[in-house]
Amino acid sequence: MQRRILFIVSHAPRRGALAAEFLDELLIAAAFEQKVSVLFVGDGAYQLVAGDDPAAGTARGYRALPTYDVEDVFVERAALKPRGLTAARFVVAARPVARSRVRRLIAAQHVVVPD
Amino acid sequence: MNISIAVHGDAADSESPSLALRFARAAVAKGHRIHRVFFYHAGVGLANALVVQPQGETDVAAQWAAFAEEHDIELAVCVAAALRRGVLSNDDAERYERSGPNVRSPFRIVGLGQWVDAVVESDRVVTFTA
Amino acid sequence: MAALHLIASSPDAGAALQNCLGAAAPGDAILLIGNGVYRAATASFGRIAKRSVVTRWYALAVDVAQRGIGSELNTVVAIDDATFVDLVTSHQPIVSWS
Repeated sequence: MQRRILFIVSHAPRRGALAAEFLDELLIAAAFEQKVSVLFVGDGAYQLVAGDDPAAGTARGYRALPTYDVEDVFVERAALKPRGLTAARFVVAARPVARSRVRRLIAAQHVVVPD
Repeated sequence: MNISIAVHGDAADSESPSLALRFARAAVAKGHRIHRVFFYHAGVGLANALVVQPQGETDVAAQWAAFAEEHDIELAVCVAAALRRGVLSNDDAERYERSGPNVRSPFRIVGLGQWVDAVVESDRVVTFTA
Repeated sequence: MAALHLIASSPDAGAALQNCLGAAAPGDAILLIGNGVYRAATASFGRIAKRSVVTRWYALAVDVAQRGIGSELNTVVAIDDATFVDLVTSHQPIVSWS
């Protein structure tokens, strides 16, 4: 049976194991052929940009998503301007979406996982 | 319904495990089945048998253990998260040459695949954040 | 089926409520649990709730009573743990915000 699972990232990168463990859950769900989507909201949008070292930070982990056939990766459009972010700065392929799309996305899920 | 629960917080720093237990009790009282309780992130700390709770303070881990034993509910603890936080099964204590296993009964160390299984097999999954 | 949003953190802990309201749909329900019930005691809460598209606001009665803030609450309906379970079985997905 295939479940639709949405992973919501709402925090800026944090120290410790949380980010790696969140990504592990995401990747294993994809590996088990579940229908995985990812949504970045609020401060979570900061996880889409990289600092001086592109190999560091959590963005690197999210760049691996296409290799796991996870292509439904979105960012809440309203999170960008207040944080001075634009999609041009993303190092992860996340599609900016409007609130109505976010609502439809959530409504379609069986399970949602918070970061 | 079949309901699975994810617990992300530890008893010492979060209300997550006690909120989750209240929910689980209420669900069972209403006749629902708890398919699996999955302890992840800091939540794996509930399974640490070395924890000594001060006298007079609620021992949520003990309450979870008693509840699980009474209703035959699986308390699953993610192995990777547990290793990081020093909760080791027999096998892992040997493999990593640590002084001893310290998993409190009836908590069980399992792979992350068991969480995916819980998602697939359950009608609802409720996460109690840290 | 409408979604059930859970908020367990207090106002000083972060933007959980804000993020939730950015994602919640008109038919959804929001349930405050644990320290999340403190959010309903803030002066701005009534205004925030009225301005949002969500009309179904709940808080766990046990958590409200433990914190002694029952008289400060507005807008939310206090529910028991059994009703929490009913909300879970009648909504999907369950979205936890921290």
